[in-house]
Amino acid sequence: MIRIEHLRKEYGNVTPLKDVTVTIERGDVISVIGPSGTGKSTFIRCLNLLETPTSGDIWVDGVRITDKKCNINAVRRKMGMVFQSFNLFQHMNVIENIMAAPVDLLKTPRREAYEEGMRLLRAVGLADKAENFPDELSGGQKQRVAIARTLAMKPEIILFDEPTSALDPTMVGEVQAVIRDLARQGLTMVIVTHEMHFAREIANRVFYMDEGGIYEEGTPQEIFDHPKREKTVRFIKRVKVFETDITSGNFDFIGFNTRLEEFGRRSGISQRTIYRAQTVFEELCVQIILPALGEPFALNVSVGYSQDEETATMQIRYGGEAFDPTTSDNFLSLRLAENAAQSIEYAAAGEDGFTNLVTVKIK
Amino acid sequence: MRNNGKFKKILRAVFAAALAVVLLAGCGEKAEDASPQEGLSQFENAKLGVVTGSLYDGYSRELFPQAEISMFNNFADVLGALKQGKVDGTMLDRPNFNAVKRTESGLSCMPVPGYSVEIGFGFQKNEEGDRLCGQMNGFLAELEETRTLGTLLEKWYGETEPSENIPFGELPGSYPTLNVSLDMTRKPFVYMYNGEPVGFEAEVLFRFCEKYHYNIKYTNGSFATDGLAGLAGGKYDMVCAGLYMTDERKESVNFSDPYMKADVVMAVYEGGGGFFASIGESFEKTFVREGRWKLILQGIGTTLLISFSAMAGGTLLGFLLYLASRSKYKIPSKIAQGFAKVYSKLVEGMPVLVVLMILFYVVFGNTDLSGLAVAVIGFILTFGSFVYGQLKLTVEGVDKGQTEAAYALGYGRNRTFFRIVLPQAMKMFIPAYSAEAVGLVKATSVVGYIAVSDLTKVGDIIRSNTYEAFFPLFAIAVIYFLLTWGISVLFGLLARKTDPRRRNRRKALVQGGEK
Repeated sequence: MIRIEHLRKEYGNVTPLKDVTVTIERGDVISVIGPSGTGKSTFIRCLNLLETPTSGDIWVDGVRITDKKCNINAVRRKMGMVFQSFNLFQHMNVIENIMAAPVDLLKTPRREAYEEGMRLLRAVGLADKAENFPDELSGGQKQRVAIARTLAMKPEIILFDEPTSALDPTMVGEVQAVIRDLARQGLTMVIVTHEMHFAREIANRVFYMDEGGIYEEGTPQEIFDHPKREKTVRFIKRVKVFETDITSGNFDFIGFNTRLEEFGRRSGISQRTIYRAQTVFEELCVQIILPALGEPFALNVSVGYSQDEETATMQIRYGGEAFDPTTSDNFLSLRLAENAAQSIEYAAAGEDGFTNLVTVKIK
Repeated sequence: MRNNGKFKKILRAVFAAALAVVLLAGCGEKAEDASPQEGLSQFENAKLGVVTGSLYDGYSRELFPQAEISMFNNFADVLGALKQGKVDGTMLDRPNFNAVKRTESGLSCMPVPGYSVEIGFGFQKNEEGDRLCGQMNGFLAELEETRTLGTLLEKWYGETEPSENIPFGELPGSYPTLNVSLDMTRKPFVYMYNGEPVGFEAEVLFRFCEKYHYNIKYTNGSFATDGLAGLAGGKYDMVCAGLYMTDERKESVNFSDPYMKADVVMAVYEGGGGFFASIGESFEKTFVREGRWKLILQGIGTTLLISFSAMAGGTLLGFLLYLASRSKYKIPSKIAQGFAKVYSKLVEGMPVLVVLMILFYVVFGNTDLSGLAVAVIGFILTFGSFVYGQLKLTVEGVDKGQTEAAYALGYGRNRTFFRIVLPQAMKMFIPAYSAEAVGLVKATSVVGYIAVSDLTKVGDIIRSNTYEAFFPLFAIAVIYFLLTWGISVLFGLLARKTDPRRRNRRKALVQGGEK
């Protein structure tokens, strides 16, 4: 239904979409998730050309909409869009908002458009608001009207651009219920959302976007239960990461500890866990690994914290010859580190020029 | 300071005493005989009123170097200041004084010996001007011979108002046309009576044209701001304004032989019963006498004609320019944007009066375009610049999400603009437009400078006939107020009509049910 090939979008010096190639089938309900600023909105807005792609091609129902000669207005008529900020027409009341496009663009007789509009309003539970103006409605009501307005054009595809992000938590439910209802009717939908439970339950496919493209794609089970790639895992498990490269022996260790504490406070990690992480860093990394390192100096320390599992993990990567710190003869430091840790695992393998990897689960 | 104040008081007392003497003596031979120099010496440190650009500016400075000179636009204003005590005296020629004296009994004068002015008709300084001037000189000589000139001078410049006024009659349209600038604030040389130009020069002009077979197309405008410039620029063939034949003017104006040499007098005013002494009489003079209300109605008509034409034309111009500037075709939109930028900067940066004068004397200087047409063009340009700027501002003020939502539904560029964006921009546009329209009506009051008889100019003409300085001003002010008030009420209604919130909310329902 929608085929996207090598889609790229640049703004000045930022490139939110580097190279996206994907196909959306008829009847697909796709959740697009990912951290902020990874091009989710840009991606969905390229699909109806609200953003003009820098390069690449998009086909909708076999029509290449990136073709300059393509009549995009005709394509947009069967591809609705629901916005984060609702964008109801301020100078029209609710029923006029819904009737406007069918009457203006599809030449639907007013009476028919009116009746269809009222039917849609009833479907979203707002028939009694037909004569109100948009600014007399709550956020959730506005978004439901916006959905009804989109549906009035009888679209085959609906794009949802963070439909619940601008809503009070109390109103998220009513809008999600309406979207859920649409999914059951077999409409093709692409939904950008930050609501993970909603993304999971509604979709048959999930796009995790990061690094300028669709970083990982799969069924909700694949993405949410068994994410394969590192950033997906971090995002799904809501893992917060603190990472530092140490480039010389003259590293500011006190500064490192201070920043680690700060990270702990921000991520809601308990003081005790942070204290233990600091102990592991000092005993294992500073006392045992550091003296063993030669030139070229390569050391990377990262602390990850999963909010779902409430566990902290420290990873220490370093270069040089294989060296397992648990075999060190500095018994005192090793003992102290072991006391602070649940487990310490060593592997003589790594990536990006590091040859050793120590994984420590903090108590 | 205090000394100065005291000195002024003493001076005023002396002045009042002298005035009393003058009043008793009248302004006749006796006063002249008494001791004219002594009478004039009071003015050495006085405040004197002069009409801007008139000969008396120079005379006053020459005779009374210590005096404080105040400049006024026309003699009616000088007289107003004189009556109010803002100036102590003003110099003018005897015929003019006689004409004023007819209605202003409080006025008196003393001669200024050694000063006199020669008065004649002005023509272009070229061959055609020479020819006309020659004809006029012949005609004046003939009037002199037949003793008609003396009779006419007596009739118009005497101490009593001419009982029989001769307005222009019909001249056959087949005659070649003379474009003549008449300064109708120059009573009794040329002025307005019953909406028709009359006065000595008007009558001579009419007789001249009758004899030499010309048709007259006259424009009513101040000779200082319009007539002489228009003569030099070729707009007028002739100027009738009781012109003084100064050496300076002779350089650019081809004067006829002087038909008279007039004495210069110093006029003073001795309080004749306050300015609001008789509102009833003022009203009668300003509105009723000689059917002046017709003149005022014409003035209102002209003001409204200019205002509404400028509104309609300016709105169209601004709108088209804006549409062109947001065209999806690159080249026309770039051209329109560039043009609009330069054009609105130019118009915004210049006083509208200057724009009008440039248009009238330079741009359209050699065309037949009337002052009215030029005024309309000028105000279309200024109003168009406003409409363009305001449209840009208010359209950009509409949330971008509105456009995106319309695009996403499948609306095209133009339909989105007219159906979604523009109606919302109107909400902000109309109040600003209304204020600008009101401002426009008031701004048109400067068109008198390019010889258009709008409401303000009509007020000036009436004042120069009645020498009522204040009542016509108030009357005109009230009329302007009513006009602008009416316009803002009109736009208030429009704003309410277009406000979706005040519209019948069931409209969609009703229309849905009807079809």
